Amino acid sequence: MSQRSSRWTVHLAALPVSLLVTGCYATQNRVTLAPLETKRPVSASSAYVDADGRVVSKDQYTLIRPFTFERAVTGERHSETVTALDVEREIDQLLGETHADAATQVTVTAVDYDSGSHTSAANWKWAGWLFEANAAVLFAYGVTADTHDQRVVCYGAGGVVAGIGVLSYLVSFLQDDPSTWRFRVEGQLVEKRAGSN
Amino acid sequence: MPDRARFLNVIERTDDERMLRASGLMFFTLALTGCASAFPSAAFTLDGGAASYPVMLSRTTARDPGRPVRAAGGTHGFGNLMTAETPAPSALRAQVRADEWLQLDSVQFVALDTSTYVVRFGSPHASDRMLLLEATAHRTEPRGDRRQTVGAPR
Repeated sequence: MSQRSSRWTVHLAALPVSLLVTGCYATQNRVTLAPLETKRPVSASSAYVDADGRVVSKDQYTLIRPFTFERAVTGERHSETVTALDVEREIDQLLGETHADAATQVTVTAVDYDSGSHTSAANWKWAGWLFEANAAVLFAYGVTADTHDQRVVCYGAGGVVAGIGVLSYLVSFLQDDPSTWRFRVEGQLVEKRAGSN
Repeated sequence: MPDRARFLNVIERTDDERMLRASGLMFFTLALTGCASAFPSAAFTLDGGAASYPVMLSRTTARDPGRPVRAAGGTHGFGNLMTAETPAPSALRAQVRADEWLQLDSVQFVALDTSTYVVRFGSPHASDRMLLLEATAHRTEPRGDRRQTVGAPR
């Protein structure tokens, strides 16, 4: 194969390569909440099922005090994280401190989600891959170059571009802010009225 | 003429003040919009709403096996476009009959960000935020018929 036809082969190969260079990065932060193993009933509505199995409605109890606390759950970027939301201990502690019979109207609100460095790290990784792909094309040009000077220029430029690619990829590791869910847990501690059974 | 001039001056000043107030209000609104969180908390609130029946977060043992109900809701973003679904708690409550109460078996807050890069087509970014709920709807037992709950009576 002549050098001219080889160069055309490189040209033709470079186009689909540049079209096919793709990347996909995903960050999944999953927070789970299983049935709470608290010592007293905890309900998301105004009614609850008491220890004797009876449904207690809101006119059968009195409010001791409302409560609120917050939680944050983080997950590593470009990975899949599953975390159990820990609210049991705090609610149990609140129930114990106030001698409440139950916690009602409990809401768990995701007040914010921050994807951290997901996008910026992905951009730096892509930059790295793209520079490396371009460096490969420059090296391929160098192989098929006609003269020594052309080869030197192609290899030199390819080396610089490859170096920039490696640096870009390394910079992505500095972009490591985790993804973060922020939750607010609210509710009220209640005491059953005497003789409401 | 002096009266007319004073009158016009008052009108102009009033217009200026009105413009100033309007501008101030506009900037304040813009500032508020800028400061406001873009996260739609209302779609990701696990609550019992106005339900008069129990929606139990703590484990409660019922006599009947109950029937499973589930719901999912959230937002799906692609680039600058975002679509929202019915909040999961509302969708779940809509499945509960009048003589039932709910035991929440599984609650999941899921965030999935996917960044895909295709040369010459840019870098579309997809972001899904979901609240997934699984529960069991139990029949409310007649008075005198009792079930056991975890949680020792005081």
